[in-house]
Parts: sequence; C-alpha cells; structure tokens
Amino acid sequence: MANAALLDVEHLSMHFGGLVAIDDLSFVAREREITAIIGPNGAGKTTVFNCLTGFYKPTVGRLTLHHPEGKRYLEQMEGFRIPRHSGVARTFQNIRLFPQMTVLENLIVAQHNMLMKASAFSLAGLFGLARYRNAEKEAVELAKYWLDKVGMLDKADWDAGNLPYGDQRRLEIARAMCVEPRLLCLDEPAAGLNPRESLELNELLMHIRDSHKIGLLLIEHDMSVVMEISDHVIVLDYGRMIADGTPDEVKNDPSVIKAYLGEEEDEELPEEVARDLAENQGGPNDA
Amino acid sequence: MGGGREFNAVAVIKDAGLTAFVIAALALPLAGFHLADSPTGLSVELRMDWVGYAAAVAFFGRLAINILQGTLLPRYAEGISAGSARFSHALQRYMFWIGLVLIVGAVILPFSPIANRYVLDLTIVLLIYIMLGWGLNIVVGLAGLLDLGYVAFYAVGAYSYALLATHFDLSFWICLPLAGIFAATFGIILGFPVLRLRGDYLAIVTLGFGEIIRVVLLNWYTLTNGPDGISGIPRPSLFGMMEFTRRPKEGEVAFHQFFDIPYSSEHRFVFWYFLILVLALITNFVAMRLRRLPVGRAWEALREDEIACRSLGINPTNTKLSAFALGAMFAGFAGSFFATRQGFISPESFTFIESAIILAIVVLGGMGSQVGVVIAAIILVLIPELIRELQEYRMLAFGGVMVLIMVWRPRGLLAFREPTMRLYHPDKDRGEG
Repeated sequence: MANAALLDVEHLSMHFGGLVAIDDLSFVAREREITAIIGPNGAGKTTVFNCLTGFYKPTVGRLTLHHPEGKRYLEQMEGFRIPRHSGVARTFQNIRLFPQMTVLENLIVAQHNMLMKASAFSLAGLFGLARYRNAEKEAVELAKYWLDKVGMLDKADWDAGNLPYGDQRRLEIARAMCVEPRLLCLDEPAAGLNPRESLELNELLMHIRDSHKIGLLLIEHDMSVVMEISDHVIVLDYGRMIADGTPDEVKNDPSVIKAYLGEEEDEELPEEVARDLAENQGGPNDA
Repeated sequence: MGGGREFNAVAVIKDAGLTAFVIAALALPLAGFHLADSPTGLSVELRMDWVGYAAAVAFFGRLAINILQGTLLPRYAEGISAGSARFSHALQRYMFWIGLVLIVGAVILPFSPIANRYVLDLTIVLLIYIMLGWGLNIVVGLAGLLDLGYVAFYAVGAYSYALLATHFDLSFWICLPLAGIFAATFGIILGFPVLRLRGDYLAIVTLGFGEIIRVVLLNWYTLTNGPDGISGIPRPSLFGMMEFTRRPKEGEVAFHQFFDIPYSSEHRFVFWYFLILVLALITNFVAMRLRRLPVGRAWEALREDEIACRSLGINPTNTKLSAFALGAMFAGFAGSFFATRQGFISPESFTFIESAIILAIVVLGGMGSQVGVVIAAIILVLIPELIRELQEYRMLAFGGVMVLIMVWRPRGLLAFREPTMRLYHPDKDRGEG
C-alpha cells in the first residue's frame, strides 16, 4: 500500500431537497489503483461521480485531488475546469459520444484545451502556422495510440454513432484518456458488454492503471469485472458507505451481503451467498 | 393489411374525400370571397366554383398519390432511395469542383452577355442572402443554436453603417469593420442570457431579441429616425480612391474618368457585385477554416452533446458566445453592405420574415453544408423572382417548393457532414447503415 493518495473524499453529503443521496461519505482513492464503488441501484454511486466532476455542487464535504502543482478542491471548481486543472476525466452510464462526428474527431475534441492553446485561440490555426500544425499532428498521434489500445484503429473514420455498442463504450474510455487525466472515473463501463468484451475491458483498465500510472474510479455492477481488477472496493447503500476494503474483505462482509440480498435468517448461508455474489451479481445488467 | 401497403379502395377514397373537405374549408375564406366593383362601391361576391375546383384538385391529387403509394411506389422506392444516396455520394465527391465552378461562374458573370442591371441586382440580393446563410450556418448548423432573430444583427450592422456614415462622415471602409464589431457585441449581449437555453426555448428568446431590436429602431426616433428610416446613406468608393458618380466632387477623379471609359451606371453595380462576392467568400472561407480548428470542432461537439463537452474540459460559455459573436459579425458586414447599396434603410427591412428566410436557407440547404446554403439561397431567392407572373399565388408556390424539398430530403438538400479530418482516404467505408 505504498501508493500515494490521489483523491481524498471527506464527509461528502449531497441532498436534493429532503432526499439524502449521499450521507457523510469519506474514502481515499490512490494512484495506480482501481477503486471500485459498488452498491444496489439508487445507492448514490453516480451522484458521487457527478460531485467529483462538477455536475453537482456537494451540500457538504471536501473533495481534494492531489496534483503535482498543489491540492485541487474539486467542490469549488466549475465543472468544465476540472478536466484541465485537476485532471479528472469521466465516462457516462448512458454513453455520451458525439454521434455525428467521426471516431477520430471525438478523440481530437477531447484534446480541445491543448489544441486551443496551440492555435492561439484559433488565430494561429486560421493562418495555418506551423506551431498549430505540429500540435494537431501530436493530437492525432495520441488519438491513434488510444485507438490502437481499444482496437479500433481501422474504424477511425467511422461516424461514432454508427459503431456497435461495445465499440462505443471503449471509444468513450479512449476519449476520456485523451484528456490525459490523473484520475479516470468510469461509470458502468461493462454495462451491456458480452463476457468476451468484458474480459477485454479488464485488460484495458489494467493496462491504463499499470502503464499510465493513474488512478481509476469505477462504478460497476458486473462483479466479474469488479472482483477481478479492483484493488479497493467501496460499497454504498442508501448513500452511506457500508464497507471499504479489498475485494475479498468486501465479499465476505455481512452488511454487504445484507444490502444486496436482504436479511437472511439462516446463519449458514453467508459463505454460499458470498460465492453467488461473486459469480452472479452481473445479473441485473446481463438481462 | 401488409403494413398498410395493401390497396384498399374504400380507405383511399375516404382519405381523398377528407382531404378535399379540408381543402374546401380552407379555400372558402381564402379564395371563396371576392371583392368586386359594383355601382354602390365594393361588394363581396361568392366564388364557390373556385372552392369547388380546389376541392376537386385536392380529391384527385390525393387519390393519385394514394394509388401510387399503394401500387407503383413501393416497387421503385428502393431504387429511388439508392439513386438518391448515389446522387448525394457523387455530389460529396465532386464538392470541391462544384464549389470551384460556382466561384468561377460568379466571377465571370458580370462580364458575360447575360449581365444587365436587373441580373446584377438580383445576384447581389442573392449574394447577400448567401452571406447571411453562411453566417447563420455557424450558429445554427455548426453550434446547433437555433437562432430566430438573426436579422437583428443584420439590422445592427446596417444602422451602424448608416449612422456612422451620415453623422460622422466616415468612409465605408472604416465603417465596415466597425459595423462588424458592433454586431458581434450585440451577439455577445444576446448570448449571455441565453447560455443555458437550448432548442425551442433558445428559439423563442432569439425571436424576441430580433423583435426588440426592430421595435427599438422603430421607436427611438431621435437616433434612428423611426419608421421614416435613414436616407442619403453614402455610396462606397473604390477603397476611398474613386467614386462611381458621373460628376465627381471638386478635385476628385471618378472611376470612368480614371480609366477613360464612358460613364455607365452599371459600373457601380459591378463594383457592388464584387464587393458582396468578396465579403461572402470571406465569410465562407473563415467558416470553413474555423470548422477544422479546435473552436469549430468544439461548436460541433457542443451541438452533439453539451454534457460530454463539459466533461472534456470545453468551456461551453465561451464556445457558445464565440459562435454567436462570429455569426453576428458576418451579419453586421452584410448589413452595412445592404445599407450602402440601398442608400436608404428603415426598420421595415428587418422584420421576422427575413430571419425566417435566412433560417430556411440554412435548413433547406442541409445544416452545416456550405454548398447547400448556396443552392437553397438560389432556390429561395430566385424562385419568387422567376415566378412573378403568378402574382398573388407566388408565395403559395414558394411554400410548395419548401414542402417538396422537405418531403424529398428531410434533412436538407445536402445533408451529409464532411469530417474535419481523416486518417484514411475518403473512399474507405465509414460504417454507413
């Protein structure tokens, strides 16, 4: 556990009117680790992401991102500044690509801030200066690298909206990586993938963690993904954290089992239930 | 019923009867009453025979359409849609050449035998609309911000030039950029309050903004001279060097004297023609160029998904404002050209119908397509001119043409998007279908 803390979530609460979506949540996500957030539907997982990426302003709480140039307090930043200034990128539960733009263009748009600077807010670009041309070339190289990593290099000129579902999911991850983030937040990346695609996704996420040395935050229902690749699992239920630990610890935690399967009177069940949990919890999304 | 394709005589006749009834009901107030001279003054006459003709045409027309749809069309539908796709692919491939031919044609037009004052005047109007269409295309086609008040910026440009030129005696060449800056400022002023709005809501607010500008122009009598308008707007000179007048002012040389050619009032029209052609081409060049730059891609990305844009670190405020400001600036340029060509402007020229026509040009052309704007502008500006003989039925035919275009190509005449960059040669398949 030598990895440095990347994200500190302290006493995060999010209220919508009288509804408490997140209640006093604190956890740490570390560099070069995959931190999974799991929990039943409506537990507040996506709300955590929305707070981290500036779509919601938390009611209470401090979200600290440890950046080489100092601490960044995400709860104080405007949403669109978070990717640039603190290096947090995300994907969405319901895929949000730019469907009428090509795959390559999707990845170039992700490098907007870098290119905007290189083009001197379009002036250098308007006159076709070499500075901008070189920056654009670099952007295309980065896009090609990630297209290669997600196995879509040959589809670079397809319209993103025409891609098969699994490709769209992977393209969204590639697009988030083109922001060159320090923390990548993935909202159910395995939803709707078949088992083979799920395995490929595991490899991709582990590659991102190991070769790019960034932290990953993962919301996932597919336990074959969560248990296989996570270094650290956080379980939410009704906005509260009910467990926090390694996949094995969480798997055997009685409160987790209770949250997922309801209270069992038979004391002998837990181990069996835990195994079921590990194997079959993909259920809700496989349908 | 076989998916409703099977031929059903009763249903078809019923449908045609219903259509005829609706048309008759519409035709009664529109064509059924007729004002006629009578010894006591004017009297209203009924023209039931006209209503009858309209209903009969509607009945048999609808019948024919239904029968064709039930029998012939399904057999050919595939061929038609394949042909249409082939046609659009061919257009796509030769787009560069089509553009080149259009530009070369536009340059040689004033020297061709068909050029006379009427033709030049008409093409100048056409070019103003093309320029406005290209400007609005940035806002609507690229950034996806539905702007129903675009004519407001056109008005701001026209009035800025008219006021600056008449009060401060500034030359056209100084006023032109100033008018653009003023219009862009108004674009930003409009942009701020509507940043959070999209789609219908944005359309309503921009519509209101357009009307506010017009009403202010109408009522601020001390500045704008209200409904009387501003007259005596100076004509542009050839870059401040030569005037296009028969008798130049003391100590100046007129165009025809300098080149030692007989005076002709057409010289000025040719000059205006090239002026607006250059302005329009600059608009086109800047829009095309920006589309391939980060800001242009951000516009398109914003049109596709604003939330995804924010998650990628794109500032939606700046991106939207830049689109508004740039679109408005080109409208401002076009407006000051309009003012100098007319010599007289009044709020009458900047009504909602102008916004509607410019928007129609963009939508019919295919959102975001530059050549599409040209074709749509030619159709929408020239057709009402060419069918002047139809008199009061002109607008009916005009509406009919628009409906036909939308039926034939619902996403606009040239509804395909050319990627701003490619990794491979365009002929490689793009996963269509």
